[in-house]
Amino acid sequence: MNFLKLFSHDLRCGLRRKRYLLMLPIFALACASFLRVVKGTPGITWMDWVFHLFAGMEPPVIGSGEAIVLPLGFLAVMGGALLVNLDFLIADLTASGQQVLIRCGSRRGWFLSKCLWNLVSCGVYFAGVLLVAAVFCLATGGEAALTNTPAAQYWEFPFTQVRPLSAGQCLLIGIVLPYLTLAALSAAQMTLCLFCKPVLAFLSCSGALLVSLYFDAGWIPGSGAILIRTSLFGGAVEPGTAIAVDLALLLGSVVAGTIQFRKQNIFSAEE
Amino acid sequence: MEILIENASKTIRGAEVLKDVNLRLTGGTIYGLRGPNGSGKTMLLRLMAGLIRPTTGRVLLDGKELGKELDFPPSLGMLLENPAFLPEYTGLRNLILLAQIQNRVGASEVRQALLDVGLDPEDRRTYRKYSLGMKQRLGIAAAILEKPEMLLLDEPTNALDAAGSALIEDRIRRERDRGALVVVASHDGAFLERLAEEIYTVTEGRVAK
Repeated sequence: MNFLKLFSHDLRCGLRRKRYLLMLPIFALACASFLRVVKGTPGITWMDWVFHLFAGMEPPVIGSGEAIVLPLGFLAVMGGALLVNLDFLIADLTASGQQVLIRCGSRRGWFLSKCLWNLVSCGVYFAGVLLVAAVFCLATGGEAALTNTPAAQYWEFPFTQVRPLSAGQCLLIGIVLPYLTLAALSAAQMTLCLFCKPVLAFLSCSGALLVSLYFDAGWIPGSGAILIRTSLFGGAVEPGTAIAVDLALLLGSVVAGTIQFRKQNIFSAEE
Repeated sequence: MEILIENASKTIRGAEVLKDVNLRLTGGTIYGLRGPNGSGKTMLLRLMAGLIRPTTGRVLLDGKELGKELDFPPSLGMLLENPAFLPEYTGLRNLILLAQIQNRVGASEVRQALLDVGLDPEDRRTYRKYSLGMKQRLGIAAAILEKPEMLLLDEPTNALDAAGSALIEDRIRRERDRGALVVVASHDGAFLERLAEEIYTVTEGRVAK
């Protein structure tokens, strides 16, 4: 079996789907909600736009009686990635992918190729998010800088200890952590699809996102993408912990999926 | 090549879809599986293809156990249920993409496989625009593409007219003649009588000669 051929087949089949383009208006809507901040704050940078998308929300004070306002833009962008990747494995497994599977001759190789595809797919999705943020930034006269503007974050999160971060810190919490979290949740969703219906897998992983918004703890999968909760902003989520959780979830999903797929019954879509 | 199925049963969601199947099939022969819809023909083909694992019993391919020593038969062509291909590509492009996975055959063999089932390699139409009969022919072309040692065909004459069926029958015999082990499942008894050297009847998951 030529793994590269197998992987390139997955890339060809998986990335040509139009749903990546369908997500662009969602990214644009999520960005548009930042325009009110941009108007009142000078010196907004590209990273501020990215921070807006992946900021999440401040931890709710449980028992305070205060209504919890969920960050819809954040949920749409994060949940969108799960939706985009949701059915590729199962759709391929129950259709043309069976011909590929018997030719590659290895269940493990086939599943690992799908895992690798998942990383690339999340990367493409994430690049789309960053691109839309860049378009909004440039269109509103912002700077293409990798540093943040504390005033912009303070406007949105007044109870957070906002401060200027270095480019490296911004890249860590604005790009590396959200991407890793997306990839880990998506890998978990793909593996769950082997055990239950795809819609249940999606609900489980998007549920994890909701739980991570509600509880302020770094060990909950999904917390890594909520950058306003990181210790760099005085929050409870240590980037190192979030990276470890994401990597553990990613690798755990790959291992569990590989084991399960070895004994998976493979049917066609009609069966 | 030889496939040996020993005491194989398969239970799916509490329903026993294959019951204590024992079969020994060898290369150079066309075997027929007949039975009504839902009798277990397709499930038996899936078992031989390695797509499902037996709940009890085992499947041996030239002495190697499927699911333990082998994930799939190393040289397998199959058409199970409805053929499925990438809808945006032509038939030729679809087969080339499949052939590239193993790199056993080149572009000329791919074209020949299409000609063998009565399809035009130069046809610029995408798979999406194919008629049902053309899709079926492409499915058979994919199955025979790499001259497999084991060929599993489920209702291969579905959606084909009389001329198309005759062409496919001839093609299947040629596969047998070069030594392939061919298993054809069909509910069309007359078709199997014409084609197969040994016919098994599948009834409620049980297989009998």
